[in-house]
Amino acid sequence: MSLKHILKLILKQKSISILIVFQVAITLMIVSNSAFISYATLQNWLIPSKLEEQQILNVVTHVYDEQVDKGQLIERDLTAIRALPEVVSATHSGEENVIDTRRSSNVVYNDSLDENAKDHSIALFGVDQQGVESLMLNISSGRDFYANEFVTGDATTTPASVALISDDLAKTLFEEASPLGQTVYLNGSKTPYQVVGTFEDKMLGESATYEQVWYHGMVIPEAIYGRNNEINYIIRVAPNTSEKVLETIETLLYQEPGRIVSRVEFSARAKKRLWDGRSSFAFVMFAISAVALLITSLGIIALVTFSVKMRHKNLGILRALGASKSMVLKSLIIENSLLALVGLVIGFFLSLWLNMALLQTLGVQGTPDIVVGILVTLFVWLLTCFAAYLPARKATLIAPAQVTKAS
Amino acid sequence: MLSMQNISKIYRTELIETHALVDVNFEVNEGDFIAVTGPSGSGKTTFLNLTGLLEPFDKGQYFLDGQDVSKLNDSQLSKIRNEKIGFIFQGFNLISELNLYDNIEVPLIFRGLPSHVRKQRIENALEMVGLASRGKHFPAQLSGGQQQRVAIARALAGQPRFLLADEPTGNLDTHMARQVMDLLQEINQQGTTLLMVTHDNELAQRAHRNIQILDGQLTDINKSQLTDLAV
Amino acid sequence: MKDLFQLALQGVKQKSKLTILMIVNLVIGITLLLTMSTTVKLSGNSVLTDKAPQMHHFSLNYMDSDFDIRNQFRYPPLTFQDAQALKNAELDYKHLSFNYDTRFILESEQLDSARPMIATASASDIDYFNVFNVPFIYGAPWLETQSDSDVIVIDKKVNDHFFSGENSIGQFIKVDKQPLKIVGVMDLSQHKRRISNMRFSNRYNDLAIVPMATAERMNLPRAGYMPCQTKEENQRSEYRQHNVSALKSAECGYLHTWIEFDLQNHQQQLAAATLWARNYTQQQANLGRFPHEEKYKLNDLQLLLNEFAQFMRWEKVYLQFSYLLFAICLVNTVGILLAKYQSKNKLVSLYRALGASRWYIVKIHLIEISLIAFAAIIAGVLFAHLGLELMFQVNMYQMDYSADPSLVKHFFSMDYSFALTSGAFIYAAILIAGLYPVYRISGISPASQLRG
Repeated sequence: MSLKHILKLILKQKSISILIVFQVAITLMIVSNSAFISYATLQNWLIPSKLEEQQILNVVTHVYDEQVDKGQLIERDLTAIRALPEVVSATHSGEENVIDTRRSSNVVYNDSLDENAKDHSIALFGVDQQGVESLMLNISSGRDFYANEFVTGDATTTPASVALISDDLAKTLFEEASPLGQTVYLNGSKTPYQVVGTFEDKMLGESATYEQVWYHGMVIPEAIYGRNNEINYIIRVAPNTSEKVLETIETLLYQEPGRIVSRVEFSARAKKRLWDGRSSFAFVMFAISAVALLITSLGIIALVTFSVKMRHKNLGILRALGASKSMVLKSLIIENSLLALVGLVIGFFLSLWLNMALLQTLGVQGTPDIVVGILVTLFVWLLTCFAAYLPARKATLIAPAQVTKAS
Repeated sequence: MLSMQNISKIYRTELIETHALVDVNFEVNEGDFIAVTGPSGSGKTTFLNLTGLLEPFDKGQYFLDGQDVSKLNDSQLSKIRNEKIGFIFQGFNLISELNLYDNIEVPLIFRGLPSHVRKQRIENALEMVGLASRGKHFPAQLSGGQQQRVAIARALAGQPRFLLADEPTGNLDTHMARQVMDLLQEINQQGTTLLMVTHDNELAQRAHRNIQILDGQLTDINKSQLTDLAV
Repeated sequence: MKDLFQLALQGVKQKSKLTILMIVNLVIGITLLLTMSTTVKLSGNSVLTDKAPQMHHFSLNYMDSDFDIRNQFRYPPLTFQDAQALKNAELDYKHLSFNYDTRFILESEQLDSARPMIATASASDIDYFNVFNVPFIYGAPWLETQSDSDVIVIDKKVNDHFFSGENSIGQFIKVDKQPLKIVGVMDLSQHKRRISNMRFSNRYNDLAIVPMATAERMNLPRAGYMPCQTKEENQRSEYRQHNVSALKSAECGYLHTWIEFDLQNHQQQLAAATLWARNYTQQQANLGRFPHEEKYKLNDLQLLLNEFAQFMRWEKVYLQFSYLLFAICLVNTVGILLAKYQSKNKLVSLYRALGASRWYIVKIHLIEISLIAFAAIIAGVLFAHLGLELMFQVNMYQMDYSADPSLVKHFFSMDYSFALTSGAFIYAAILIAGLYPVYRISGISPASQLRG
């Protein structure tokens, strides 16, 4: 059949045509927005953490007994933890845990005098001698800490004077200049630290990641405790260590009275938490999309079946007049594709509308991505073709000989 | 131009086998006008379907224009139907959603003719059946006789070697039937081979050659025998 | 009737592929719709629904004139001073209760038994238990005479943790190292939300409740919403952690106040309480307090619940999609029925020729559709269980499994009475969708299809 005839037939079957167009449009609207949201989530997921998520553990504990000597407790804890066979190394963590900002977020400046100097979000780790090893950092320039640079003690302890920063942070702060020997100023107090080395980028900070600077990190040789009731550790375990180690460590830590162990987890879990809200929205939208696709496919199967049944006689005539099976199949699929195309065009505008609506009501936005949009459109179109193919294939079985039956 | 040898066709259902055609041997020459008659259920329709390649047969050989059609696949058969055979049906079988022009155009499109050629042919065909200038009308707006003339125009536009007519006047009153028959006869005289299935003896009289089907078997008969067999 | 039914059943069986297609299509739509609407429905529910209109959150706004009340849930709690005034006012009501959020460590009396746990808790008066219909498993609230004693009401979860679920009345549990006597064990998991502190959280509820005077004596922290006038801002953390006597004279509200009126005199009592609030704040304003334009607010719980439902934006988006998709399902149903009946023309035409009236044909097909709809709704309800379980899992995932599952589960369980009403509506919708195809098929004239 020529395009002209197909178009004329479409116009004759107005109600069926409108229904198909309508379904395809709505489906594209839902599916494309789910895809945008899912894609945004996926992009987050796909940010390389460069982190040994299954080897680095976070431990968060609260000491509620004022009588407990925290310095001694930390010493006892670390000795016990380091003695575990699964454990490679362990450090007290004074500031943040891996992708788990414990207190307020941390920032650095590269100027201590300028009031308006830009603050840079960072992941800040105050660690002891096993810190660099526990975080599995690779020194990329400069040097590691010297043993005599480590300070330890309660909240009154004088801060350390040196720091390691991540390559990404070095580049942001000092651009092309060498970061080695430069000074960075930490937080509102603008505490100065001299950069003695840099390490390869890793996603380490929770608040830094929210600030879109997931590789900004800084490590200082300070194991300072007592700023609050938390006593936290970062532990490195051997590769392929099973989940059981979490329970082992928790039990171990509970052997000290006067404390609560709030969290013992692989850093993978902390990383999961970063995107939980968006991910779950994406999950549900994904499920709704699947339902939409399924329903529309069923709908197209039903409508094309009906349309074929209505045209049973005509299709027989076409066959008698010399249309081959494949021509019948082709014309039905082209017919459906044209309808789908109209639906997709309408669906395109509906998608944009829904995208705005979701942004306004939920503040959730998957930014429309052209490639994703095209892929989704193509996918919906192929699916409608396939859905039409099922009843259309049946239509090819209509015998041309039916034309000689008296009607 | 058409030759059947030992053609058989059996319809099977779960319970019975019906031998619709048994060992049919049949030849048609270029320019012939053949009328096939026979009572209901004798196998007329089956014979027509087989001849028109609308249905496969079970046994035997069938040559159309020297080509063995038993070995052809669906699209090759479709191509032959489209190019060599013109159909005229009792029920007209026009597509009601399309106007006359578009109806006639359908088989020409299948053939892949360019649109200016199609236009020429459609106009000629409509002219020939006396319906020029009515191309924009829809089948439902025409009388039965006119519809059948459109169907004939559709068959002619394809310039087939071979015209197959199935009770072409079955749904028409006597007056219209006569007009349609005159048209068919004229077409035959211009050289198109015509094979017509009918149970109307008056029509059959017009043919050069008469065939009768009884219980799935074909026999040539004389015109004088036609009246005796009147149903 | 029986013959009608049989013919309808035949209709279901004919073209069984299309019947299956129709059922599958409907089941998918119904499952999604029921899942999402149940979630939204349940979120709007409260355990106190029956007395929600009588319960009011009482707020007197002592804050600076530029204080921004962001929403209905951010009206400040009462300052100690205002709470005393309210308590001493001659007002008529059923219950008046004050409470504040606190947090402490629970420990077993015996050493090296169960691990200690952090408890989110409330400090309250006795009326708290009446206002919030606190369900008890063992024991009861403390007595009036114990309002300053070392007593505690613990939640079932605490009881399970430290006492393996046994009756622990009369036993002791350590709160921040000080032993308190257990007088009652409650089961707050029956409550869907934690209403008392205006958070309406569906993730956690209190693990314990202690008398307010006891809490003050033990200096349990004031951990909830505590807005302070700007001049007090510096002392805020001091007020929270240590200095309750200073807090009592500060312009810092920490006492969430709920007033429950009688069912009968509800309106008069509310009017009287409102009048008191107006006069009191006016009188205080003359003394230089209450600089804010909006000086008092009594919000009833029903309004708050409705208001809170506005925050469920995601769920509502899901629900709107479900409605849309269900509408498409109905459209598909029409398409499938048309296709199904297209091949039935001959049969119906025969029935008609044999003397069946048009109405008879209509009845056969309506029964047929009813049968299919019924099957689809039953299956939809069953699958909705699965859908709700999935939504529950997604929600737990979203909260990184940190919420109390028994609380969250409230919002993802099948509500059969709701399912029944929804089912009825869905059935009606399917039947209405079926009218057009039925109208078409019943319009077949007798014998019109019998030739050939």
